[in-house]
Amino acid sequence: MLLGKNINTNFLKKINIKIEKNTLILGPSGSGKTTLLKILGVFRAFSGELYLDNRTVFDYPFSEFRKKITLCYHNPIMFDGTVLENAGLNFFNIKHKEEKIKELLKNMDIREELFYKKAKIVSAGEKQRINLVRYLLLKPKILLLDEPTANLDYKTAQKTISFLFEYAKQEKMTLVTVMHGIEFSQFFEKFVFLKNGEIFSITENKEEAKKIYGELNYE
Amino acid sequence: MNNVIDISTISLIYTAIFYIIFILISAVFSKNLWKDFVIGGIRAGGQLLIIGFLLQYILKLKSPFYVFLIIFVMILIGTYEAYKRQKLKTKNRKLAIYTFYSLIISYSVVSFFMMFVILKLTPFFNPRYIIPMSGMIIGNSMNSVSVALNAFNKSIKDNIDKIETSLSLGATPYIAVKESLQSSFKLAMMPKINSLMITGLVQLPGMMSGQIISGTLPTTAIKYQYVILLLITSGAGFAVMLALFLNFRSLFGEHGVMKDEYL
Repeated sequence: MLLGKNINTNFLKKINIKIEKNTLILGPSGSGKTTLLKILGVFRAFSGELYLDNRTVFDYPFSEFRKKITLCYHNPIMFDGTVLENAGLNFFNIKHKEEKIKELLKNMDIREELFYKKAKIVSAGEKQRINLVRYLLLKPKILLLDEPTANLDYKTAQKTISFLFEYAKQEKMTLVTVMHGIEFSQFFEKFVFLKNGEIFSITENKEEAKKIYGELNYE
Repeated sequence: MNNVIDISTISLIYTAIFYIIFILISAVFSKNLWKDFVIGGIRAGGQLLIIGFLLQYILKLKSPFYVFLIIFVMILIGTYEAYKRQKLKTKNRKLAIYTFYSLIISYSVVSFFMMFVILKLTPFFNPRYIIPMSGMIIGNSMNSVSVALNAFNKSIKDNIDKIETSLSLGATPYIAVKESLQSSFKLAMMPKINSLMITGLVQLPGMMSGQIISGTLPTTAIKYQYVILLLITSGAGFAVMLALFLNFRSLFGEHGVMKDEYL
């Protein structure tokens, strides 16, 4: 469980948030969604308190903390090397089994003939899914996702999201996702709405969430 | 030393007239630069006049305190110049402090070696040697540090997505910015490496030329030149590494948190 108390930055104001189940963070552009995600993963400086399983995040050694919680950025960066190497990439010195990487890539609808191609030349949508595989292989307790379907068409996005949640359930991961739309609400158990750097509303009721989403977007 | 031909006032005036003719012709070629040529010419003359006047006294100094005070002022001016050239949107004062630390530490190490091991001067602070050589070391370090810090902060901005991705996949801050550190070190040191490569082939370096004109044996002049080239390169290199390290450290807080001021 991740607990943020009175989190402030230049932009975010008095954020109190508890993450214990799959959460969708919504809000208009510039409302602070990505900033909040970065703070929850301790990628950006903030004032306030942040606890992971009742211990302040800074109590954990850096590497141990990063294995428990990390963030998959929306801009998928490919390094030199093949698709397979990129999907298995991490800096923890963990060597994933090749079979496992291939299996996850296939689940993400990456064609086998691409496995040994240079990762930098594949399409944006493929890059995004290869990037997701990196984090799924690491199995953090909490995975923060910044617009994981930004470069995908609706059908691929749907397939990707359902696999992500199926895998997360199996591996006991909690997914915290920032998205622009609410079309995948069925996968989430909690909805956090941001507006102008403040929490506008938090609900666990999907119907209510849709209503709030509508209001926020027509304002 | 005694048979140096002095340059008369009339010769100086001839040189200035020659320079003015050049500026007038250049103004036809490009209208923008003539002012800079004029200001540059006047500034160089004024600065040299002042330093020439001061050097008469400085070179006679008998107290190490004043010699090192002058060097300290040189480092302060170097820090200010290097800081002024930083192209950050919001000027970060910390960069000035890092530049100062790196210049003073690197200079101290190099000058200690120069005074006590290489030249074995008596007195150890002999201003005739220490002042010009320190000027060369500090000036070169200043240029390199300013290039390196500019390149590093630009590289961080340009590669922020890659750095963040690496951090999220478990990279330590050092691993995440290693490429930026190395590329800015390389960029800052390239001019130094180039000057080592071509020295003596195309042009004779300034210090050696000066010594030869003033009557020093070329065999002595090349030894001085070689010493100063290697000291300049290592002095600038130490200063750059130190400045980059301090700049790198300041980018991150606990748990590799990137500080907003650089983003």
